[in-house]
Amino acid sequence: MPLAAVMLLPLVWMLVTSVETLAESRHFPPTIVPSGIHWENYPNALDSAPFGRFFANSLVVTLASVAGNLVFCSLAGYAFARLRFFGRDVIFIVLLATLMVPFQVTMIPTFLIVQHLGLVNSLGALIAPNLVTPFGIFLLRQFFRTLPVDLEEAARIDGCSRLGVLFRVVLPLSMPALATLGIVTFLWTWNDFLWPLIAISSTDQSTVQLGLASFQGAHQTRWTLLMAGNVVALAPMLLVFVFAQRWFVQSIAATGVKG
Amino acid sequence: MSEVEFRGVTKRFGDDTVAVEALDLDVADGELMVLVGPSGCGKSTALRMVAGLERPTAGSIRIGGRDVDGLSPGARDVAMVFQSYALYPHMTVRRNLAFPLRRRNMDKAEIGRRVADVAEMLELTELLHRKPAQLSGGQRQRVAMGRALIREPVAFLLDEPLSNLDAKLRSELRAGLKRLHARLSTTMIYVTHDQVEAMTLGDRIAVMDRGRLLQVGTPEEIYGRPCNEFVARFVGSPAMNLLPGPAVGEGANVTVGIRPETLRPAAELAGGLALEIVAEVVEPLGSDVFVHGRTDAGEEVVARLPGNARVAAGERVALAAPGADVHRFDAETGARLR
Repeated sequence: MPLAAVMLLPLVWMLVTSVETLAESRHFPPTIVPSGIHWENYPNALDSAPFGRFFANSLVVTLASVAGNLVFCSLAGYAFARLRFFGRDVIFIVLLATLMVPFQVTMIPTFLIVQHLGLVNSLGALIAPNLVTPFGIFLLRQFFRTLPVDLEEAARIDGCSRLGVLFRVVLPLSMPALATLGIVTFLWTWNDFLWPLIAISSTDQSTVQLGLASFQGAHQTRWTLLMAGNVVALAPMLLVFVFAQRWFVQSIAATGVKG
Repeated sequence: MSEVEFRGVTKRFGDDTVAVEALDLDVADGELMVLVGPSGCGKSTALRMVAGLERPTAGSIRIGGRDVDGLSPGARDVAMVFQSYALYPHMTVRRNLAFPLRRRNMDKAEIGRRVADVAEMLELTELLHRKPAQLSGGQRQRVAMGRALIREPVAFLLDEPLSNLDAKLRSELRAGLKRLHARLSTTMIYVTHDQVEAMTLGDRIAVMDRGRLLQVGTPEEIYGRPCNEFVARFVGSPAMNLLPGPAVGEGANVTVGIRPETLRPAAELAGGLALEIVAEVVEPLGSDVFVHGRTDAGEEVVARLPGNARVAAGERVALAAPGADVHRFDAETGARLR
């Protein structure tokens, strides 16, 4: 319980700040119980910038990245898990090694590539580099390797091609891993700030995180509006979590393979 | 016609592991051929090559007179039952049964009819809406059989399909399988390490060891005239007694084989090959008495005597086997002498 309270504290603080007055938000020590509930922070925050547009942009980028990761990481992960081809293990190790390279090292080359593709300052610049990730390939490859090979062989004898095996047998059995990858990609993409900051320069292509940053100026930060915006930006993630978690549990219950 | 022919089939894994070596074997149309041998003898690899799950390193396989070497597993028109059953856990029994037909774009009404027929034949009708996790071991095995049957393939491949079941269920399903084969008369290749299963099921048996085919024949031939010491010991339970020639008054270049069930108390049998042992363990089973003992030279001998035989541990027992039931093998190569 005490641990849960500690974990919840930042969330509670954010909620409280989002309904305080600006003066209360700057008070030290922080006020935990505000003088009144100032709901107007929410419309004020949303009206101070085109947040509807930001949300739509974030949603498009996030959903495209999630879909891309689920499709492409599945294909690559299956190839690394089951197909035999020259240099497979070496390529996989190189792929894993890229996980250790920090984003700050690759962001300029990535920017140059995106620029070359003519995607700078468009949503494509946010989607293209995130369509497939080494982490996703690694996660799915590890999961696919735990599935009984017999099932795949049975499907091949029953008339499935390799792709048929993947889509009809392997993926339906991999829902826990796919749900995990989906959630993680959603969180990463939705919360990503640095890459959109580099790749996007116009307001109409901005994402929610860039919009929230506009509340933080060089000389002062409007904490109440920032936190109100944050609460709204958090809502989609909570929804995804609630839905995906239910799916997650169902998938685990359905994989009682042997007995 | 759906005969299966192996022509010089070899399978190597890496450079030094030979799983199957120059296998020549003909399985006749409608025959139930059992491949039997200890684990690692290459029997499952041979089966998987027929299914197309492994490619032979050398040689060729023909099914129904057609060379299948370049064909994918799905194009070979064979069905396989796996040891683990390999039922799709996310599908109901109905969808598991229909799966191979749907992959062949069969008409929906025809799929429904076949699923109903197979479910009725295997008593699965009540279980069609369940998922594999909700079935018992025996039920899963029947669904796996059903999924193979429903395609009406040219040949069935069965890879130790009963080995995950308890002894009682195994013998029930063994009988069921034999009836099914009699009814369908489809070619079946059945892989097992259990010699009892091989003897009871097979029209013919192929005994393998370390990638080599040792002997092919009817169960009677394999039991009555094993081609070498390995086959002699592998088939029959308890295993055949193998004694060095000098221990029973024969030459040093001979190993003498006597099946435990052919030994009788010497008093009941005039002539034949005589043998004296000191009984160490006596196991009365009601119908039979198993006597484990040693000759004076220290060789272990097992005798299966009639249930009314009275033998006590520590007692000296004079036994004899009819001359016609004594097997002789080359002491050096292990090959049968006559």
